Amino acid sequence: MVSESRWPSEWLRGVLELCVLGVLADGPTYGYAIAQRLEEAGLGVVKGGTLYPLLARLEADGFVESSWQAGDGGPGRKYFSLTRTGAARLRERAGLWRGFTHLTHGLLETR
Amino acid sequence: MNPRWRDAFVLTARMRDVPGTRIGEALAEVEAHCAESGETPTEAFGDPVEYARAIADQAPARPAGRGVGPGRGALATGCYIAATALLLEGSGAVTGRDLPVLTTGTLVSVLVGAAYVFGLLALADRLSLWGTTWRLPVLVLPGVALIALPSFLMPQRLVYLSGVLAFGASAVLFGIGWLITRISAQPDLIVDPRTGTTPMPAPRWALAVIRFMPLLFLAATVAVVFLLPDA
Repeated sequence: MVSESRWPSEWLRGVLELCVLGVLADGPTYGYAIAQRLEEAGLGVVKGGTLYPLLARLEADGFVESSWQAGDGGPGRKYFSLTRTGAARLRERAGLWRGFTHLTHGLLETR
Repeated sequence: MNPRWRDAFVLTARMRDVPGTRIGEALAEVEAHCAESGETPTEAFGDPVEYARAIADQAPARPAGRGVGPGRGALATGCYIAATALLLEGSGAVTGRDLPVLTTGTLVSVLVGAAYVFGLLALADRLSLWGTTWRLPVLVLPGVALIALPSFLMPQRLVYLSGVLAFGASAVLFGIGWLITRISAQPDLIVDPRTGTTPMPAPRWALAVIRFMPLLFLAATVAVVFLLPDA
């Protein structure tokens, strides 16, 4: 249950961490808003059952930190933000990703 | 949140030793996400058992030494039952009724009581001891009967004691039981990170029963011994 989208789930599984870090690079936000941003970007619906374990892993690895904040009449939101380590991870992985997609693009260009 | 989804999630997470704080965190995430998206927990997070397994795979281990585990509960209960029996025997010596004696029934009562409490605590989540108001007393009462019965059915005398020895051993065993209970008195509660409260609170009386279970067994056993004729 990675997402409901036109993209093969194994592709999304590989790139989801990078995309989540990318969303958080714009500023602290909460889980549902991250899912919405990913959907708006065209990745499809990323289910909570996929997103929150990933966020928990990123937090355990020190790339993300979180805090609960009171909601507007709702049950409150858990905000996630990028740490310095997370920002460094994003820069490193984003550079690698660009190289990787350039490489695959070159291989597939003539197909 | 759907209680069935929540209960299945909590049960699976508990059985996989996920700390109560992490379970509370995950439940709060589910509730907050579903409130925003309008989805049900099943739609957003899938099968509760599978989701609990995913959480358990990355959760830190439950802090050691917290909670009244089956082993500690059984040990404390055994100490309290033995202490009670020795106290009763010592009292008999003081009143000049009889010499303090250790019988086969006393030893069997200690073992049966310890085994019963071990089973009760090992299956606490499966039996929903914390979620209902009637199951705990219903399950404790047969335990009291099981503990009391061997004393009447197996009166064979194993060893005679002095009154001082009976009282002394009783005091030591009470002390050990109390220490075990005191050390274990802080249960690993599920805590909602937004409010600091537990989303599945056990009734106060149930918490008291769990905390003082050995003492309740003791009191009930004493009552049975005194109330039954020819005890």
